[in-house]
Amino acid sequence: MGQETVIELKDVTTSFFSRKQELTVVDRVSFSVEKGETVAIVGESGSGKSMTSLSIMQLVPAPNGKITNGEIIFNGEDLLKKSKKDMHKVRGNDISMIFQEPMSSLNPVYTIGEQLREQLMYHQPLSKREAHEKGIEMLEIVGFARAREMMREYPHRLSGGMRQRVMIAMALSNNPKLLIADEPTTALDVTVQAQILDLMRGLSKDYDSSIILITHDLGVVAELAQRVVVMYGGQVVEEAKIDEIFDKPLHPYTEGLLNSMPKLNDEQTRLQSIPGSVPTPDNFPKGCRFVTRCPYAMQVCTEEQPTLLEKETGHKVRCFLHEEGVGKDGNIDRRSKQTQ
Amino acid sequence: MTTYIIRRLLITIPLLIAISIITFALMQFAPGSPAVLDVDPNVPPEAREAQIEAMGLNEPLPVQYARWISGVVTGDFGNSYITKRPVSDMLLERLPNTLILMTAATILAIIIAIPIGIISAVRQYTKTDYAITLVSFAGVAVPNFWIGLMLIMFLSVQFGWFPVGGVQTLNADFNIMDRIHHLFLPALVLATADTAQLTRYTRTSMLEVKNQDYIRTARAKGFKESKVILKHGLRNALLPLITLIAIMLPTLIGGSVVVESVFSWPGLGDLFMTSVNQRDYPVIMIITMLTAVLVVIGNLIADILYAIVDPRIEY
Amino acid sequence: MVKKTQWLFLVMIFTMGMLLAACGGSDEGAETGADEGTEPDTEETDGEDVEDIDDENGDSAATGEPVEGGEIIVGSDAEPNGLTPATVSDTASRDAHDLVHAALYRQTVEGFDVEPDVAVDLPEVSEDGLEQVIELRDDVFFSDGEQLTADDVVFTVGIYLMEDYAGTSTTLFERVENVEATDEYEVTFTMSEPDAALTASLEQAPIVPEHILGDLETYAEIEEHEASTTDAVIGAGPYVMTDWTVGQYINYEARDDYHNEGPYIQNITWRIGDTDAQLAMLQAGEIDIMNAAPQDVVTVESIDGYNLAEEPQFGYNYIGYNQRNELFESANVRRALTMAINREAIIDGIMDGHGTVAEFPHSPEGPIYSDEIESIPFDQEGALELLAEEGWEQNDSGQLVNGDGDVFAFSLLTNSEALVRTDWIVAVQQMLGEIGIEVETETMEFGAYLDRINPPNWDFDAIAGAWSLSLDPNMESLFHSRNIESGQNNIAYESEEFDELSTDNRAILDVDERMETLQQAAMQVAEDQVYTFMYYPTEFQAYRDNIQNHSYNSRAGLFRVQEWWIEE
Ligand SMILES: Nc1ncnc2c1ncn2[C@@H]1O[C@H](COP(=O)(O)OP(=O)(O)OP(=O)(O)O)[C@@H](O)[C@H]1O
Ligand code: SF4
Ligand SMILES: [Mg+2]
Repeated sequence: MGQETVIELKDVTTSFFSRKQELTVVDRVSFSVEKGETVAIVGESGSGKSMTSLSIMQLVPAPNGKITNGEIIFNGEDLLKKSKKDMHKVRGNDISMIFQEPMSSLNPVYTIGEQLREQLMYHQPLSKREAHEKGIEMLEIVGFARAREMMREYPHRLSGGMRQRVMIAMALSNNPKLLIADEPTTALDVTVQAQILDLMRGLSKDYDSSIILITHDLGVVAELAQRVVVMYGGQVVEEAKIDEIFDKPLHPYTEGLLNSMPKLNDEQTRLQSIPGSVPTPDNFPKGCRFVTRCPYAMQVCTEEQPTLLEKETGHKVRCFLHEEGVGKDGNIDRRSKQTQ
Repeated sequence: MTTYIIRRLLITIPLLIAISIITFALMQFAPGSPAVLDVDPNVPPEAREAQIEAMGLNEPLPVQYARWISGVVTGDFGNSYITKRPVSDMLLERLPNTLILMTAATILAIIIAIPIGIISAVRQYTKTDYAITLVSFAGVAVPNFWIGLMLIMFLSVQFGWFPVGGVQTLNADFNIMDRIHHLFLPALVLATADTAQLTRYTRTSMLEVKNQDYIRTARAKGFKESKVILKHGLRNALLPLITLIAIMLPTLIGGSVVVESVFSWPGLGDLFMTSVNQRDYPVIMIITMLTAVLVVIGNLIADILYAIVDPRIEY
Repeated sequence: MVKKTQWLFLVMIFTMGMLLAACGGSDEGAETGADEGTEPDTEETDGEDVEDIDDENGDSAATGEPVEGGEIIVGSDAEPNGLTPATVSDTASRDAHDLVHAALYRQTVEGFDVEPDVAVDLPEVSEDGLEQVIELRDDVFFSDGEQLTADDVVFTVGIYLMEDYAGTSTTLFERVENVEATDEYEVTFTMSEPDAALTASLEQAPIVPEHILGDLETYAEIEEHEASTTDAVIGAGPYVMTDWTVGQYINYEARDDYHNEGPYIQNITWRIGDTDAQLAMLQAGEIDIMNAAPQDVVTVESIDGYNLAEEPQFGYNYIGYNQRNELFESANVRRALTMAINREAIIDGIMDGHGTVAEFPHSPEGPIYSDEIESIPFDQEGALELLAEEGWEQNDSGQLVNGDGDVFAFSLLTNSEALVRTDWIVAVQQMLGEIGIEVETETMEFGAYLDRINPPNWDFDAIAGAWSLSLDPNMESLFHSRNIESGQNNIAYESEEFDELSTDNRAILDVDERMETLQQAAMQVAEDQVYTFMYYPTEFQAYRDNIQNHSYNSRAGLFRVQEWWIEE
């Protein structure tokens, strides 16, 4: 791993504009994905994971959402500099995406076959016949036994898990270099989740494809990803290899996330969730965005923003605890936070 | 499917019976007696009695109703009080004109409203959108007859581009172009209110669809915006409009009363107007019933169509 | 697309502007009109009388010799309700009858007298007046080629006498006991009582073919026969109906074997459309002739190539006072009410001047009009004096009250279709308000209105109405006390003088003597101010200026059209 970078985000910033204000929901996000690698983006709801992935696709909801800064280098080219027309060739072809909501992501009025074929034919010079056969093949790959019949079905006849598999089949149909999976299993029940995850694990192995896996479920991360990007309040707060994240998380938020994760070998331990909730973009604290909930918060955290620093090779963190000159036993001021 | 349609038709029957009773009752309670009985107070009481008896107006209401409705069911609509001709003849010579006008108006409304509604939705909150919204509100608010008179004033009288009225050039042989030439203005006027309304609904429906997840999926597939909107958006947006077009039917029928008078279009609306003025009850009642039946059929067709185009609906 | 939208928008703004302009400009004209055809027609009088041609208004003095040929397109807002005259009496039907049928007598062009048409001469009346013999011309043919004979006349009159007759002209032949063909071309009427109005009645009873309808046994069958309801009609008139496409047009073709002068114009087409549509057609040059509503006169005058003929209607508008109500018992009170209403102002303000004040229960151009009729001035002071004599005085707050302190208050009712009347009853309300009388105005749909005012309800204080007058100036049906309970004397006017004068006027066979009697009776009605006679409305007909020898009177749509011709 690590020989070839498939995509690299540099300081990508995305905001929503309303008459009153500009809300930055993706704030100078940088990370990269290597060939064959699965990178997980984790973080609680509202932390900007979906917006980050939609920024890559340039599908941030128009007209209010705009990417205001940064570069997205893909295949050596900056996607943000590409024309609209060229982006049509990238989406669904070089980069595919599957979404959080399998129930509503398929068009109810077209058959599965139609929805598969149209994507194939849009990007490849295939006849309808060929596209049909290819579609069947894709359905078989994602595990449909009666793929041929499935082509004729309408989405409403399928369960959530089946639909998500169709979405995956569609996303993979043009052999994308990068697959973005935005919480592919969140809406599904547990057994189905496992099947989908198995499927994805298999695919990434078999096809050596790169995946950006978005989730707030660290269990999923542990199963699939090689690297983890932790987001909070639109920012990357920590980035590390999978084992480092689990073994020695640096950021208090990551620590909190891990504590809230049920552990299989320790059933008695109460699930510990992080107190408080993610601040909304119009309500971000002036200093560290986690300061309202951080057990180690210091005076400085309320005033200044920490920067994302590479603490060890391949392990980045955004926290004053890990910046030079700020001690861990500095100005802890928990009580005042709680009464806020 | 067939059973579904049959079931729907069966549900329709009590509805129609109810409508027929209401229609009949309304006519009974309408002020004044039939015009012919009013006109001349000099008619000797005996003659008047005889006439009332001949018309069966002295029998108990349920009997009168039963006789009327059994006639209606068997296609015997009775004779007009005024012209003495069979009501069915009077309807038949006018029904085609009205159907042509309404069909043309519906088609016009659809082909004008849907593209405009889509543009309005796609360009939400732009000047185009505001202009369309304004015009369509005006279209709903401005009365048909006024628009009709204005168009006649300018396009027909001033510029001579269109005939003032009628279905075809007087005493000319049948000519399809001539027919269309005569049809255009009345159909356009009849279509205005519905066009405006349909534009509004298309816009709303499209806006709703635009935010659906499958639209995002279509975009993620790389499709051009036009394909996203026209293939994945439109069909979903149009589904609810099918019902709407059926609901438009009563407005069309109502509108045709005015439009047909303004454009001297010899249809049912025109006949209805004349009959109301002359209190020609047999004609009024049948047209009312016919309207009700049309509306019911319209709804039925809409439901069936809906079931056909929306794969989610099972019978 | 943006362009298109903007264009639409501009059009919208433009037309909005037009609307405002139109509203601003027409506040006078728009108020008049549209009472025609909605007013109760006295039955025996289902028409108005002939008027002299009004040369000033462009009625063509014929230039040169008549020319045969050409066609005219006539705007009509209604279609005939039936084509057998006995069965119907609406305006459109009568106009159609004038074209396709001929009667024993017809109106003269000069006046409102009758002259022989199918008859050779006026009837020969027996000494006692109980027998009238009419000789027929032997050169009259129906449009299907059959000759018109005495049998047809007998059959035609017979329809009115049928047991189940339910048409609208019941009184026309009520005095006919028997009608008989005494020769192939001679008809003898045996009367129960003498009838001076027989010729006028026959004028309204065009002859229908016995050979077509004669086998029918009942009136109902005649009514429904295709010759009564479709273009299968057969008559002896100047034109034959060739095609009636319901709702669209009716075509007539000139007959070459018509028994009187003409017809010169070869084809006549009636084009059906409401008055607004007709006006637009006139502007677009699509029709040659139409009856114009008073509010459209200005528009019509501005159109090139058309003339406008103008005639007073043979009828009047009135306020009728229900004399069952003790408020209106006294003739003085009714006279005072008339004095308090400024009729000139109503004609000028509401009707654009298209009318003349009425003082008399018949038309100034009719045979019984008297120049001696006193005109009642607008004089509210005088009205108050008269009312004071009757015990009505204004109190401190200006209300008119009697000794018991009751306020003079009543409701004034009219039918909502009569737009002009619905306007002027408000003016009347205001004018009477000025002398302390409280008037409440009420309008309702025609059917409901008739229900209220006709026997046996008579549920009204005062009504605003209109009468069209008959050719025969007999007004018994309106004012004779025997018509209170079941006839048209719904205001319950009771006058021994009037009853005595009019009771047997139909039996007075000397025309002059009869007219004098009727005049006296009319004077009595005026004297008693049975009604407040409001005005005689003016009527208009626009016609293309190439039509020669055009004549107009409000009693017919195309008066004597067979004698018109088109200048080449
Ligand atoms: N259309 C929008 N307009 C304004 N703000 C938006 C819009 N869509 C999302 N946001 C805001 O952007 C922020 C990031 O949202 P995003 O959907 O990326 O969160 P997420 O991390 O994917 O959360 P989840 O786990 O719930 O999917 C949120 O605060 C959200 O309120
Ligand atoms: S910067 Fe301060 S508040 Fe933010 S995570 Fe580190 S310790 Fe906590
Ligand atoms: Mg999300």
